[in-house]
Amino acid sequence: MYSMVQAGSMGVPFVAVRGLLGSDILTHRPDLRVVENPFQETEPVVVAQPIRPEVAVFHAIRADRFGNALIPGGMRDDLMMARAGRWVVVTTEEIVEKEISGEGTGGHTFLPAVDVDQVALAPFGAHPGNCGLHYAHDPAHIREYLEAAQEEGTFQAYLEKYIYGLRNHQEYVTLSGLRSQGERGSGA
Amino acid sequence: MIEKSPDYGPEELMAVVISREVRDQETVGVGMSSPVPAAGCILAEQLQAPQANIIILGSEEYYPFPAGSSELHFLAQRGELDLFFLSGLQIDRRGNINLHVIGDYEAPNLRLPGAYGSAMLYYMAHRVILFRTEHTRRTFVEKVDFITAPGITPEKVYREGGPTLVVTPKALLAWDKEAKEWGLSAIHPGSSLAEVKENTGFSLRMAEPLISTPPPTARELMVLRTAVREKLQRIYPEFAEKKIRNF
Repeated sequence: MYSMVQAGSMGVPFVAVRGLLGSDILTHRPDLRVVENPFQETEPVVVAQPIRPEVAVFHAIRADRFGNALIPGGMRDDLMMARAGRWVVVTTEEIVEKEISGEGTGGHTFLPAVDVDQVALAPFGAHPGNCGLHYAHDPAHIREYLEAAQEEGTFQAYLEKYIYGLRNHQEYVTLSGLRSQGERGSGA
Repeated sequence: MIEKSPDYGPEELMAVVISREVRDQETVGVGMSSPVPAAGCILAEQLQAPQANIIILGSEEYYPFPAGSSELHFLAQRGELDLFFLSGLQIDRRGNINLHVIGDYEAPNLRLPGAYGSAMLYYMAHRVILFRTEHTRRTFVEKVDFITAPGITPEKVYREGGPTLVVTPKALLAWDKEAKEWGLSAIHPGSSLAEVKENTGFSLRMAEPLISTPPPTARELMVLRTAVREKLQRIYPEFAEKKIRNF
């Protein structure tokens, strides 16, 4: 999977992957094929199609008007994923006047404007997930989602309550009772 | 004779057993959702393997890379990972692991998250230790419902390493390279040969002589419950709190 996303970010037509031979994954995935290694004849190897998502979406702690963005730390493969994506959208807690540079990012991942196509202001856009030091994940909401997702009827009701029944993101923020406290101090 | 209940829990025992397998200087990786191997590796670092390079996904302290978890993935693919840990909802006699589905693939009874790199890692880490906190017949089956990653390598395919051990709360199984199946290597304190056989869904080759796992030493438990527990609280707070006793 990493190889396939990385191949997408590199723009190559396919990528060779180690292992996988003898796995049932190969019988269910048309994007994985076994070929002979052209540089080591008689050795079977798996080649995979690159993954290039139509749209890749990231949530930033801040972005500027050019598209430079800071994605909170943690899993830091975002740059590779942004490059694999054909159209990259950044939603953000805030849009700042001063241009964001790749220096002194404070442990956050820097997405340069050249890799970003669109920026949208969306405070609490990661909810019910967490967003750096702005807010933690919301276990009560996640529990509500998990329970609703058990059955089709309750899941539809969940979607109606939080998505279809609302006019915009601000209504979601209000409904969820989310209030901005800014970036909390670095004390864990 | 009334058997005294052990003064350690099954996860503590497994962490100690795993820690004894980690060698100094080697590069060791621990994937997501793997608190028992994480505890074992940190314990080894505190004891016999202070110079081991330990990489724990989800940890800040044990994460030496600038980029994300693809770094560990590609490190393994380069053949530079000495030891890695995998699990499986099912593990079979031939070393196959299943992280995909229980039942039929098209109409499964249970759909799991999938391989997440394990079909490569099982090939490319020099040694893979499987761990499972449940030792039952539904886990240890004759044949897995779906082979996520195979124990046996098809002809002419390049493989750096592969299966070496399975650690459970009852026993230690060792991969027999000649026979290409699991053998029973050691029985943990509190368990018995009959109990292991009864809870394993395939016949196990017997090592001669069969040994008893040396129980955790006072030192191992002390370090596990102090330094290791404290470090683990920053990675797996709930596990550290509930499964590793406070010294």
